[in-house]
Amino acid sequence: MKLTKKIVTFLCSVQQKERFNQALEAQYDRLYRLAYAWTHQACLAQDLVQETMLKALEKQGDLDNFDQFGAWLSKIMHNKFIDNLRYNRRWEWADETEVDYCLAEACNESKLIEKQTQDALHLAMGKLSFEHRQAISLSDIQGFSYQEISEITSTPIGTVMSRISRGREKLRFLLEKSHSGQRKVVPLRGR
Amino acid sequence: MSAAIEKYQIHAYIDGELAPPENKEIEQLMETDESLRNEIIQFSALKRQIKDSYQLVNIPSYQPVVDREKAGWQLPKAAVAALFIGVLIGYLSVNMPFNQAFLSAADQHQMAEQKYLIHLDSADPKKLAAALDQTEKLLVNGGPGIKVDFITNYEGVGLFDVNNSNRAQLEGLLNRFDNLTLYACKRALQRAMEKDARLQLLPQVKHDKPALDQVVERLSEGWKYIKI
Repeated sequence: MKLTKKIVTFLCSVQQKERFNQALEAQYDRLYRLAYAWTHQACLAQDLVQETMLKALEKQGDLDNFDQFGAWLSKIMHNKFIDNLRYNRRWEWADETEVDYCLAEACNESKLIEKQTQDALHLAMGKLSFEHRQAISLSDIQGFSYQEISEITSTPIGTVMSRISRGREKLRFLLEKSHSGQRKVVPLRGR
Repeated sequence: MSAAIEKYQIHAYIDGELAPPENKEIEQLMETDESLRNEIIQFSALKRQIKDSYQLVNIPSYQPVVDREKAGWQLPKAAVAALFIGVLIGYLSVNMPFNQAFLSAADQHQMAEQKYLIHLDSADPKKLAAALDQTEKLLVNGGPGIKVDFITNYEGVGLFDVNNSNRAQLEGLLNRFDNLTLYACKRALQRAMEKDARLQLLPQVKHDKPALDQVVERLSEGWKYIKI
């Protein structure tokens, strides 16, 4: 009897794991975008996502409600990121090739402008303090509510509001500054 | 811009976080206050720009935390395992008292679970020593079925350098126990080589995949994880 129960429990756990892994995969793109916004570098973002998924796998028993899966993963990522900032100097590395403009790449004018805009934004995001960058990315990239951000980052909701407000003000300032100093793309005239 | 409106309220309005009466108040003010209107337009555009820009990020391909193929095989495997255990218990219960048969099966299960993954990500000498001691203890005290994987990443990969001061201890363990396997993270190794081209791994060290992939694979196979 006991053995049968164990087998049934095992089979259930296999199904649960499979469901959990599918849910993880579904969240992968969102997690990566968030990690990229936080770490500012592709290789670190990849590591952060992997570490987050690994931790999620270990802690899957703690998840009470699958509806909150995205917020739960973001909280794990937040904790991993803070741990890495505190204990691991590798997060301070700067990979210049990651943030460099890809002007050498052959691309048409509109793609170049789009790329410049994207890069300028990413650079400006990188100049924000982590708290501001995190609050903005959780709100604007992930679409979390202030209440959810407050829970993910373990900060009062008033602080979240203030971080989003100040962060966006600073971001606008940095973008205006970068636009004023940026080389303009002059359309090529046909011969 | 109207002094009655705080800046954080503008952002809360854009994010849809205000209560209906506050929303209405801002919308009424926008009709007359051009600078407020411009602020809201600008920040709404910025919010959209952030979302759109990060949608364009090149996302590396997903590396499943559990191999899909393996996961797909888990249910049939579990069924086969259940059948096998049933047949085994049936056979043993005919040939020996039930308690004895059950204990043997339990013992086998316990033996099969003696798989440990030791993970080191630091070059701290104390941690290196602790990791080596832990490995030795497990191998010495474990049964014949024990398996230990020792995996390093980040600065920990230096432990497997031929010039590391712990080389003799490590090689001693490798000579004594053939159930010990060493892994160095492929990515960490590449980074370490970029910093110091003289780094040379012991020949017994495997380094064909990132540490996290190896850890995830082992965890999904039921190995016990020990982080030093």
